[in-house]
Amino acid sequence: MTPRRRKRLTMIVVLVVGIGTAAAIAISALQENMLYFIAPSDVQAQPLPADRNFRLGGLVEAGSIERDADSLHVQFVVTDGVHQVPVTYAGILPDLFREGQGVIAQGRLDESGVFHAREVLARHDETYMPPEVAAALERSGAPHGVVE
Amino acid sequence: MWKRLKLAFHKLGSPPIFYRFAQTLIPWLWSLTGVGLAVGLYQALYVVPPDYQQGDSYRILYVHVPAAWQAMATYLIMAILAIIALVWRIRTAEIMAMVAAPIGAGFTLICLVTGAIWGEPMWGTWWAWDARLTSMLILLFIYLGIMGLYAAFDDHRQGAKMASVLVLVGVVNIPIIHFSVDWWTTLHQGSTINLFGPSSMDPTMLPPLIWMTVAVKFMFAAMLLQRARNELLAQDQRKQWTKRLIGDLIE
Amino acid sequence: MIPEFSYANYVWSSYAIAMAVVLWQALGPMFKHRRLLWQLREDQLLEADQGNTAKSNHTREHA
Repeated sequence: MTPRRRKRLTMIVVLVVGIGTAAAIAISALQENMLYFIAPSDVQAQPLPADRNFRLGGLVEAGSIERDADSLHVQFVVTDGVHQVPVTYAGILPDLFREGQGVIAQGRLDESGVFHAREVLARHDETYMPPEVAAALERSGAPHGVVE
Repeated sequence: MWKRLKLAFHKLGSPPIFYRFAQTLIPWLWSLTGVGLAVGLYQALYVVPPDYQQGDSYRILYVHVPAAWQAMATYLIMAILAIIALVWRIRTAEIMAMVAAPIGAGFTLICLVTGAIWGEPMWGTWWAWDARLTSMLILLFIYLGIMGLYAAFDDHRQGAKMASVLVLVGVVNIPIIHFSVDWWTTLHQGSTINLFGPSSMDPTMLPPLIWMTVAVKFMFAAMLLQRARNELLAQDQRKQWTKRLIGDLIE
Repeated sequence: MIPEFSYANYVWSSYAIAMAVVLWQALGPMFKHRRLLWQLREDQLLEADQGNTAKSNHTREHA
């Protein structure tokens, strides 16, 4: 490699490393803001002001869904396995909204600790399998998502 | 072996040799793309079963995921070409780096649009400003920026030099896209396919994804050579080799 | 022939849009290549023509 090419290559390496470092610093500074949702445990650990909007994410606790018979009102509990937050919502739920599935609710917490959601999004997991396989797994007692 | 490789590398640096090389390769690449797409689409639409949670909507991933992978792979290839262009000043490398940008933008667009169509019924929204979606949108803007910067110069070589620097600056976005689902909480789910370690997709659903991914690789190669061939021809229209080429065509 | 899908509209529209982008990306450069070759051929023929007339004028002057 000629000295000129070596010099150019060095400049490129310096440029890429420099940008990478700057990006790493910026990202770690913005860490909090880049979270799309926070978990029930975070809500527990650091109570937010009652009137602040945020997104709450977790799993819909099994058996916690209560639908109102003659309106779109629904209540359920969002859990991360450690802490729970009760959620109320009025509106149409996405198709993937199910017990045990991921969910993200945007809204605010009231004084009594109930989360009033304005929007509910479902979060699908990264597991894909045919219904028969899922049924077989269910029968054998293995939890979904453990396919190896 | 190394010497031979080096010789081939230098030979491809010559526009007429590159042009002829592209000319012969392009039909083969498109044929392989066609075969891969035919098998992949057939399997994706007729063979694989629906998903236990998402029904048939998950079939969108057979387009969405190969496009997303290719959008990122294109960027890495473009970055390598940009380094070759900046260090060795090989013109064909410069041209290939520059024409890779619109192709990458196309795959990014496919990824974003199919993702939105998938998100609408599954998530309940077609767009969210989470880290994965946002960084992918930024990738599209970087591709458009590279195209714009290259086009802004009258001198192609100067434009390619400037745009190549921008390519290298934008490389930082690629690991951000890839790891966004691990570093932050996102609406987008985590990675299904892991090269190292178990994948969380049932093996019966995997073949169309592999076929489509391979087909898209060939498609990219064909598109890259096609565009590079055009760019060479357009830039070199006053040069001797093009005159000879056209002269042969006239006879 | 056409499989019955749940979410059929979503599946088909995403495949159709992807196909449209791919076709646009594939055919655009193909047509451009043709146009370029044609245009260069025209230029060259025109040039050759001008060259010939110039040459014949030249010889005429000398005659």
